[in-house]
Amino acid sequence: MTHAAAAEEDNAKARDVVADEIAPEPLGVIQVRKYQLLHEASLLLGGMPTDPYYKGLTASLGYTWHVDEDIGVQVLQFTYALNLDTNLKKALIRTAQASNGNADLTFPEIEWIADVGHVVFKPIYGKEALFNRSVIHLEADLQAGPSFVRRNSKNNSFCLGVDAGFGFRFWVEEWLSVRFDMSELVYWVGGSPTTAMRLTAGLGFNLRGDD
Amino acid sequence: MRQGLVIATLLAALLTPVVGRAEVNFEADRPRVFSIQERPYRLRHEFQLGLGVMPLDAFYVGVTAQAGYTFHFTDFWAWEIAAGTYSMNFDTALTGNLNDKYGVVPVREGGERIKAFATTGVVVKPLFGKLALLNSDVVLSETFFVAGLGPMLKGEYKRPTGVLGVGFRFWSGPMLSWRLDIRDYLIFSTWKPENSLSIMLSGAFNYREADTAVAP
Amino acid sequence: MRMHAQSLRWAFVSVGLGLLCVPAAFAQDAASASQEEVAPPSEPPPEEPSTEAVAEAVTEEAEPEAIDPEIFDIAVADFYNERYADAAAGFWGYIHLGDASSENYEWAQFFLAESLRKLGFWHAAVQYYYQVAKTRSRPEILPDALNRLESISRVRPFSESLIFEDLLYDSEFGFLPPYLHDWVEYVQGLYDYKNGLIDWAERHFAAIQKNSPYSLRALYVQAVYALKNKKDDVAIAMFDSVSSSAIDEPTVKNQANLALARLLFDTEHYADALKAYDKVVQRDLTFEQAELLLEKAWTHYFLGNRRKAMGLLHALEAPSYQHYFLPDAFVLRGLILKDLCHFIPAKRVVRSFRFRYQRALDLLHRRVDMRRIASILDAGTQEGTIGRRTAFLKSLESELKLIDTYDTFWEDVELDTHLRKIYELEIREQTRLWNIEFKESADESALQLLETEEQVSLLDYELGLDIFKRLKVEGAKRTVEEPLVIPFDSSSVYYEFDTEYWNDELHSYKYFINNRCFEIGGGK
Repeated sequence: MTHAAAAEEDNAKARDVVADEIAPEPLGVIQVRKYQLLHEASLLLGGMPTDPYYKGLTASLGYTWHVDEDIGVQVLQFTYALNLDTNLKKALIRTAQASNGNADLTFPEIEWIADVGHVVFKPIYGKEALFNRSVIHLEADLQAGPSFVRRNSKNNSFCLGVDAGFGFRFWVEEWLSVRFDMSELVYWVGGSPTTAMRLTAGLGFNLRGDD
Repeated sequence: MRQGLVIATLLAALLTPVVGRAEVNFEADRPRVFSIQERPYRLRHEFQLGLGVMPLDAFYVGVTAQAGYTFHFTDFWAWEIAAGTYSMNFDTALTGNLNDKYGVVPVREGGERIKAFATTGVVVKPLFGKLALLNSDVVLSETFFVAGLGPMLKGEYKRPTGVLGVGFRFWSGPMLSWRLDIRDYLIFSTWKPENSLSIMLSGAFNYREADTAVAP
Repeated sequence: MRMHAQSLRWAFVSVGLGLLCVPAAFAQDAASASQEEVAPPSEPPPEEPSTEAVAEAVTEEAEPEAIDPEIFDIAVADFYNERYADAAAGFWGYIHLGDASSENYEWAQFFLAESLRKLGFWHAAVQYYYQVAKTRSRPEILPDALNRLESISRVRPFSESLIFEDLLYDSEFGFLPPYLHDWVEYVQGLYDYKNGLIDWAERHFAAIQKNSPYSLRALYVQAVYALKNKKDDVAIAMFDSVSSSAIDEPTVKNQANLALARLLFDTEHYADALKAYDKVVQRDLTFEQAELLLEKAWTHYFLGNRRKAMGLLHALEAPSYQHYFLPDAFVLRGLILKDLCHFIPAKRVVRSFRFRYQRALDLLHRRVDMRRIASILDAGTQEGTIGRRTAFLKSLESELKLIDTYDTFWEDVELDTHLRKIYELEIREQTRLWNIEFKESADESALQLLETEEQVSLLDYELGLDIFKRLKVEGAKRTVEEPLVIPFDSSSVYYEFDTEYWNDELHSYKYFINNRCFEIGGGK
């Protein structure tokens, strides 16, 4: 190593001393957010499109407590499903009845889902210029937690599951935002896992009090 | 008569606009404040590679691989010249379930399966912005919309297909960005189209000539 | 405004050398310090021990007893197992109960400093590093002790008189690693400049390696000296060299760009000044950054870019800058609004100024002690030497409180008592110096506020005249400006401001405001 390079290395090492203890305070990106959530009530409509025998149209009501800008807890979200038979199910019923009149023709369907205590992680908050004329503020979040599923079957009508997903939120007003969520629910029916994808869109009402 | 004239004069005075008084429109004069920033990253020739999933069919789940090229005319318009997708299809448990539980088997394995498709389409990018990651880093983002059409190989047949979608782009550098595309394919096997949803994550490599590039 | 321009140069020269000692991080501490309850001392204390006396308090009379060397070994083991409180107690016990001639005495001092530093007792650590470096009885530890002191001097408040004057200025250290050698030569040269010993200073600076960050700082000092001696061309060339140097030292480069910009502003080369201002990189949200925004705003104003100037003033309303003392901003804002004939908003600016500063002005007129006037206290301590001293006092006080946390670890060996003594002595000394410096800086701030009050009153009077200025109808013509057109397809992104301040946007705001003025016989 040349003398100059050794000197450079020495300089670099010297300047690194105590660096971990005196790291400068990060500058931060946003000084004070315009949109801050605290207590949120949500009303979402959506669907469960992946079951082969029925498609569920869902309506959800929920309450989320936003602890701070990065973390929240979806205390409870209750989803009710209105299920529509698929053509496959109708064809199956016809075929099964025609070939074997005693066939077991039960099709368990989800009636409602209760998501309890989901952790909401909101690492992303930002804004986008729409046609350069106006600004839309948005947030992206991840959430996961336990869910309770109620099915309309004689056996295993009540199942435990886990739900995880992501969502986007676009603010309209400080008290109102539009949400799009996608999540995958895995629940256990008699020890066997079953999945259901949920796609929802709706409104979030910010019930933040006076600060 | 005289009373009528007075009333008519008063009415006329009320209804006639006052002449010669300038109206000051404070609202139109309201100052507006903008932060005007040059886009640090601009696209021109975009080559994209992605992996995705088509989850809606009851009998199979398609795991897709896509390659595409998009030419960006401006910061608002682009043409996705070609996006070719190949789908590796994995059976769901439905076929077995039908057989075990109901003693039936689906005709033609549950219908035609998407094997591959290619589309060309218009891309509109009306939203550009920035996202704060845990309030410590800034990630530039863009939201765009796609509309296009192309042929799809479904089963043994080629089907005309339309596509509508929304995408989110996140830049990690001037030449590399990451996309999340959610697209709905309308497959016209008959006059009534079928839906197929695609969710795709892809990396996009951008090449832009040096004289038009904007330094971050 | 002329006064503002002229005052830039002289204000800069008087604080220029002082700014060199410490990078911008201190100013942030100073700003945050001024926002905290840095209660001013009620009375000037009696003559207090000097810094040397404070340092001597550290070296207690050791009882001439043979100390068990195992104490040292146990303490070292604690240190490397990250039990720093126990390690500090052990090392202190070894020093306090042992003899200066003990085998590991200096190592104990060094490790005591290390342990205290890890626990957040920066000043106490500096005291023991100082001891190790001053006595130099173990040459092998000297580079490490100096290394720590150099690092701390860059980013933490510390006792400049202890380290720079007492330790480095008059000392010969023999052979040192190149980086430390550069630091020592730089400090010695800097103090020679301060004391008017120019030839000696030049010799010290000539001994610094050309690729060292301290060579850039040395060049900066020389540029400031040239400026002080009215050699503007030489100063400009030197500042330019610092700014364009390949050495990675953003703090000094920022200072050089700022100095260059102010020089150019002072000589009315506004366009060039703006180029230099634009090179200053925003790394924090300190008073210096707020001042930068205001100076850029003035520069744009003189160039006729009122919208850009208003945009920069708009950034000064961000939460991080709101509390800084910048009364000039009201004057500039009022002037621009008056120039554009937005009289009611201009009147509102006058009212805002009075709402913010009227109480301070009333107290000044009543000759109240300036330490009891909140605005003046903040203003007088937000920059310069007193700013650094305020930050240092704040850190001393918080470290003093921190001692209570470790009482259970240290009360047996009375390390907590010893540390309290060190901190209380230093706080008294710093407070004494603070009182002396505050008097001068508070006077300057008060004068600035009073002058601004006059300017605002004059502005208010002129507004009153302009509002009721008579104009004949046939002469009342106004140039119709092009309406604001925002392209939807553009290489620029337009974020309309909606109360949310993003730090990367603070220098890019633009204020779109119509000119409401009528021109006699002109326009359409």
